[in-house]
Amino acid sequence: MNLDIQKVSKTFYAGKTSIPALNQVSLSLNSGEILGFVGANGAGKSTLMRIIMGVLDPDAGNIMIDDQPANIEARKKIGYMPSERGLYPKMKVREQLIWLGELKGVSKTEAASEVDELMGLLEIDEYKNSQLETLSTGNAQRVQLVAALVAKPQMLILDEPFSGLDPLAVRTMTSVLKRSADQGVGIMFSSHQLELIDQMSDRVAIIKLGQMQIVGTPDELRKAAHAPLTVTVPTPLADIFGELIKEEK
Amino acid sequence: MSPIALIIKREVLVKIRSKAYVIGTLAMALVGAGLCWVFKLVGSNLSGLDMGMADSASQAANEVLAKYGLTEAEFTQMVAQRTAEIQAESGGMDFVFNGPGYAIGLVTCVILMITIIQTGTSIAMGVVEEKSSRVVEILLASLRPRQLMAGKVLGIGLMGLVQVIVIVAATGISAYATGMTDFLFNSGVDLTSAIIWAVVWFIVGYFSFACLFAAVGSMVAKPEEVHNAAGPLVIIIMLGYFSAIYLTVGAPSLGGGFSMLAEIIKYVPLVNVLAMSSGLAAGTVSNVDGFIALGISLVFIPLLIWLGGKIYSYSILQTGSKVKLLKVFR
Repeated sequence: MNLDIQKVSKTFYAGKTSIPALNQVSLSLNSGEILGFVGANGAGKSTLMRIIMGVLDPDAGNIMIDDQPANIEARKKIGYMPSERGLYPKMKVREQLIWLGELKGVSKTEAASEVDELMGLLEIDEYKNSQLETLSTGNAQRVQLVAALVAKPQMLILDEPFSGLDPLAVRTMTSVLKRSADQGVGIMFSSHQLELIDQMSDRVAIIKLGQMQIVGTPDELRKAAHAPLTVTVPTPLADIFGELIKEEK
Repeated sequence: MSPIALIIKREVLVKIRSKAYVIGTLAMALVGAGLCWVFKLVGSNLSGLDMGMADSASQAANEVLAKYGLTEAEFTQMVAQRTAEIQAESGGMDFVFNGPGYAIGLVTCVILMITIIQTGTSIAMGVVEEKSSRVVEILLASLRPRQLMAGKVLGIGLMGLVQVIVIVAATGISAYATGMTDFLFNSGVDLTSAIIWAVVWFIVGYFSFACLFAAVGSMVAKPEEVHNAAGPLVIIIMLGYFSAIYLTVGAPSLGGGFSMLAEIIKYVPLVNVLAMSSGLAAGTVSNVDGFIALGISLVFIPLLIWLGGKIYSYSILQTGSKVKLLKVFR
């Protein structure tokens, strides 16, 4: 599955004030590729991801999936993890995940099998019959990732999937995501942790104030910035692009 | 299974597992059934008393007539003459209070009112739960807002109907066991017509209000704000309740300014739900009026669904303070 974002624009309104969230943003994501999406708070990352998933409609531009305009059926093949985490607090975890899988068009049996495997991989199988509200933030976030993966998606759109996680949880989740990418799943994820972006991403896209600044592989970005290369350690992206992604006041 | 069917399935399971729903339904069924036995008990205690009181009343009446030198026939003629004079003064209208009809109409009205408010509030609370927990963002990646709203409305409506059936069945069985059904069937009220009209107006009323309650839930940020936000809808329902009392008694036949108001309310969608269901059950509103009011309401339901859907679609993803209605239509 290939995703093509074509000159997408979006403006929000607060009373008479207009707030341009996205301005002619173009980006693509290919099968098996991991795309790191970076920007300050309010840069437009979540807005773009919501538009990709059809949660918001763009004011202009197109979202193309496999060269066709995106629709509900195509989006069912995309796993989504929004930045504002949330599932039904009082519903049992396993039952809820299976139901979400069915909502994506997967049979109950398939969804159950996938949920059991994923909960095992993410080390949360002891919480199968717990209500979601009883889980810690880290475990709830793993559940959220299972929700995104349960329907065996062909693409993943993950908004800050690692925020608030301890290093062990981060390692577990990154291994699951890399496994998915190796199986041909295109992954777009946003994060403020540039080290993770650097380690995981095949390409990096940087957005500032609703406009795409630069897209390329980590090495291409280093070359573009004429960053000096060390003998053994690559220059951290944070040192090169720290100013670019600093939150504007 | 279609997305709407999956939403309905979830709503049904949530209700079935809800202690509040199960206990509430059983409690209301017990109250309905228990009331039949209470009426039977009170009625049998009073019947002995009635006989004695009737004898005493007859004796007292004869003493009064003798005091004024009137025979029973002369007194009856005087009453008939004065009744005719009063009827002529009031425009020749008859007013006969139908007790059984009033009881049936009132019971129908109360059951419908409680069910519509309860199920409507359930919908609003479910919507705001999805909004405040942010699960709605994941759901809207798999289905359209109107599909989500439709699933909730149908699922919760189904469980509301189940609740009504359980209460009516329990009350009906108890009424049969206590002999109250004989009384009702012999009272002159068309029970079959009353039940059919009650079911029809429950469906019309539920679908008229359900999408508006969903819209109300989508406009607020927290469950605590639902009751305040739903206030205007509850006021409309209560307006319908007071109209129902008026129409069930048959008061419009008395004439005066209120009769015109009652005539108008019969045809006003939303307000007329309780008024028509109880008036038709009581037999104080004609079937012709019933069909006209039903036709008008059926034309309005798609508009109400559209309105509720538009507000819901806009508001469900808005966070922060309560969404202002004007913003939805800008």
